[in-house]
Amino acid sequence: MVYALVRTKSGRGAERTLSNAGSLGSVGPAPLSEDDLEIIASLRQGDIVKIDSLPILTCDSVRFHSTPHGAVLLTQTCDAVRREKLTVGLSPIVRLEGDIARNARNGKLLRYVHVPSAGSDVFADMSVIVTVDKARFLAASRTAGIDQTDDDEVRRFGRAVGRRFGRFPFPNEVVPWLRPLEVVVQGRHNKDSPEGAAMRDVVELRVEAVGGWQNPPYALTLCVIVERGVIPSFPTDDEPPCPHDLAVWLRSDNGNLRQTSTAIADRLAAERRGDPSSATVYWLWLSLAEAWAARCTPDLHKYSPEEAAEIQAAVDGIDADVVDESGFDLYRYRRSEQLDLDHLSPPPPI
Amino acid sequence: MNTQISFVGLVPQSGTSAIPDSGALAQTWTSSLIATLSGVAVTATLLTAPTVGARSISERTVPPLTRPAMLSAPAIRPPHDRPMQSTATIVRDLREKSGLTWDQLGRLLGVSRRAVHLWAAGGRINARHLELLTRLRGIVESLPAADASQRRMLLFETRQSQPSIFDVFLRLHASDEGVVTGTPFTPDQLFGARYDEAESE
Repeated sequence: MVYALVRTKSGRGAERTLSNAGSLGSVGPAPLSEDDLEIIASLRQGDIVKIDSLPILTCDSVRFHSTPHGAVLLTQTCDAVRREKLTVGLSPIVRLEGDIARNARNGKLLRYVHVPSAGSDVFADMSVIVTVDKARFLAASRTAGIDQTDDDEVRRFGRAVGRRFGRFPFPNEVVPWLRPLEVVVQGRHNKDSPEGAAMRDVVELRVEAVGGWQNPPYALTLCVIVERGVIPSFPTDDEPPCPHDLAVWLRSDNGNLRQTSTAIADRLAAERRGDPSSATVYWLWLSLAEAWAARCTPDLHKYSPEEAAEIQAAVDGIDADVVDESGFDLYRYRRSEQLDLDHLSPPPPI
Repeated sequence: MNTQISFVGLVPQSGTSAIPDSGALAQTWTSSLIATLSGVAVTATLLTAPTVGARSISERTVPPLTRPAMLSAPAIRPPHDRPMQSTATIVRDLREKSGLTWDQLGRLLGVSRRAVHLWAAGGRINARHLELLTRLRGIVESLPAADASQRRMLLFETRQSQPSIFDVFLRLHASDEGVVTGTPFTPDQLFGARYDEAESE
């Protein structure tokens, strides 16, 4: 079956007729003009379309979500420009302020995607995503929401849209185990903190469930993937000997790590200022990752006894692996998940 | 997983130090390993009839050997019979006995060599990795070899189109890890996929 995009009879000036629910279903045979095709070919993901509302289907009617700032085109450019594609996805524009805007720009609020060319306070609100016939806004004025000459900006926008839908759903009972890492990761922005400095060398945190995510208990590995060259290399496969004083400092007689991640990061920062390629730095990095894994213990007081028991039984140990970003192989990438958890707090009021 | 292993016929009799035919043994071992790691009862049969109730995968996949030696050796002691050992002890023991590099051990266990270093230093290990580690050591210790270099040779030896024990372990470990979720689509699914039905003819 081949579909062809046709203009609705009310295509021109569609932004003015969108508030007329009765006209939504009227699809007429009016062919597209060369001008229309030219407009379609110029559509870009991130474009801001000046329309005043978006239709949302309710139980028994259509209501119109007001879009005083317009709407953002979410459909990928390669699909938006195809003349045989009938529809595109749009989200309303919102303007945010203060902490909410800053958090949204930093990717902390998945609902919002920054539309940088429109201003630092302009975002697509993906809590509303509406499928609209292209012909509906052919005549609407349109401005670029992202700089199409900036590949990085284009990709960032696309990935932010995809992130809201593509994240791995960690089992609910596993999330409390991983939650303590949130504190560590947020410390990344503290420039005065050695642990924050170490975290800035981490390009990604991934979690493996050795044996899969099918059935608990899950045996987890925290994969700390660091930038190339951060962990010292040595000429042979042999492990570099851990200096005796460091070994004593790190571990108690029974082998358990006795230092916190903060203490290890402090010492790591000091050692890196001296000799960043030393065996000491190597072992401190390994131990720091282990200490981060050791932090992964759920705060069971927040839960009912039944929930706490379920959470406790869900994980069969978490170990750690520090891997250079050039050494994390595809085998492991395919069997691990990026650590991407919702913030604990309820969404801020808008 | 309830794994019962009987290595009758694979371990040299007491006092027999020579390796009679390491290639053939490695071949049998490969099949036995598949069964072992699949968690089924295995009795590797060389010349004798199979033990009642323990029909071996090796009977189906490996032709009987013709060497009359090495029968009736005692089965290896299952790991749970050992005195409790630390992870560090197990890792160092495994490396010493297998002759494998840290990197090779990491590959077999699905981690980096740094993770194995960390375990060897007493670092924390999750239950599944400890289980794999223990199983791997059990396999290495049961190889019919006198020293680490011979065990290493057996681990990598291939014969008659059978993959090496090393590769069998790698593959079983991979298939044991369940559904791929990180990049769940195959090239076949990704290449030439249609965006929606409107494109179909």
